[in-house]
Formats: sequence, structure tokens, C-alpha cells
Amino acid sequence: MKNTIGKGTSDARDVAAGHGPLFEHTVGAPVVAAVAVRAAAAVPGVVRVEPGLVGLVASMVRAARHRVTGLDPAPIEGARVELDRVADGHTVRVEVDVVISGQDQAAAVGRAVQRAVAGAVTEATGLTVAEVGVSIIDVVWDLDRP
Amino acid sequence: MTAATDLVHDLLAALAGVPGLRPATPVATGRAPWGWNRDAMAIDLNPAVSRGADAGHTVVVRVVATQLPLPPLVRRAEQALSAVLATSELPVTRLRLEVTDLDGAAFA
Repeated sequence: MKNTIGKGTSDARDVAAGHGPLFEHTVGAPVVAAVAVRAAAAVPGVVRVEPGLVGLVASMVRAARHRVTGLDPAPIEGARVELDRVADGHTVRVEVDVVISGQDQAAAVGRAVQRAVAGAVTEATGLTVAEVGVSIIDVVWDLDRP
Repeated sequence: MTAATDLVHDLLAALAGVPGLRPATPVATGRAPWGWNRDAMAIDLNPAVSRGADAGHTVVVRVVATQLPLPPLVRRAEQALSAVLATSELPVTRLRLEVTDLDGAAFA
């Protein structure tokens, strides 16, 4: 997962015209991942976003680091984010691993996750989402069983 | 205090006036017992490598977001930080805001 995702908000002409320093901002991959996980988990038919073993370990390390700083980091486990550079800036590609309910059509749930994640990331960060990949890791048939 | 120290102090004060963003510090926030402001670690002042410090500095401000959406927060931060840089003794040619992480409170 790349650490930062760039997106400029002013250009060199502003500096030349005396409008102050060139300003740019970047959005970290954890920010995008947190929004993606939150959006995916809220989709009907998604039982949970699956972190995987690597995600769990990374989660523990990140949570410990942030609790020292007094923060409660938003969960990012189960989503991977990559940056794509295009002619007019950057776009992001997001991959989400989910477990869905057996009572819903897998393809429909997958498409709903794609729409939800793309919309939420764009709205929350202003970044353009080029692609959302959804992997259905498991299907839960009896939701009452742990 | 040096001009750089003053600038970092002023940038942190400006950032404090932007709700939804807080300095991204690698260690505990707030003031250390000996009075050193750890939040200052969220700000880097880098002189231009190729042309020396006289050619201007790049200011990098790392923040954690505690609110969403980001675009209005970024605009507010740009205005607040740019206002400080406009009155700075140090020449600054580039301002970079890095939103490094998201706090769970953003979804509350």
C-alpha cells in the first residue's frame, strides 16, 4: 500500500503572480482505505470486511502507535489502496475483501460495494476512483452462527 | 527563538484554528515536561536543495483528519497556513499538506 496519494490544488502560475507559495496536498492511503472499509461494511449483504492475517497484524501495530498519540484510528484492514498517475493528476485503485451473506446474490452485492466505495472515497477525499476491486472471501449461510 | 522556530510555532497555532485537522505527531501529543512542543515534529522546513536556503523553503505539514469530507478542511488549512507564510521572515515557495491518517471520530 502506498503511503501517500498526491493531488495538487494550485499551480506554479500562482507563485509567479505573487499569490503565495505553491500549495499541494496529499491524502494518505490509510485515509482512503478507512473510507473504503466503512463504505463496504455498510452495504446490505456484506457481513464483514475481511482483514486477513497480515491485516490483523498491521492493525495491531497501527492501533498501538496511534493510541500513544491519543487517537483511535479508523479501521483500514481489508482494503488495499494504490495510486495511479494520469495526465491530469492522480487516481486511486481500491481493492476490498468482504464476506457476504448467502441470502444475497454475490454479483449484486459486489456491484453495490463497488458503487458505495467509489462514491464514498470521492465524496470524502475529493480523489478520483479509477477502479474498485471486490473479492468475496467467504459466504456465510447462517448469520446466527458465530 | 529563530525565524524557523517562530514559523513552526505560528503554523501550529494556525492549524489549531482548523477544526477537523490535528498535527500528526509520532509520539504523545501536547507539551513535554521540559516544555518542548512535540507537535512541532509534524512540520518540516526544508530549504531548496539545488539553490540553497535563499531560494526559498518547502514547508511540509503532516496532519491527521478527525472529520470528513477532506476538501473543505484542506481549503481551510491552506488559507490559514498561507496567511502565516505571507508574513513569515523566511521565504517559502512551496507548502505541502499531508493528510496521513484518519481518526475514528471522523465517522461518529
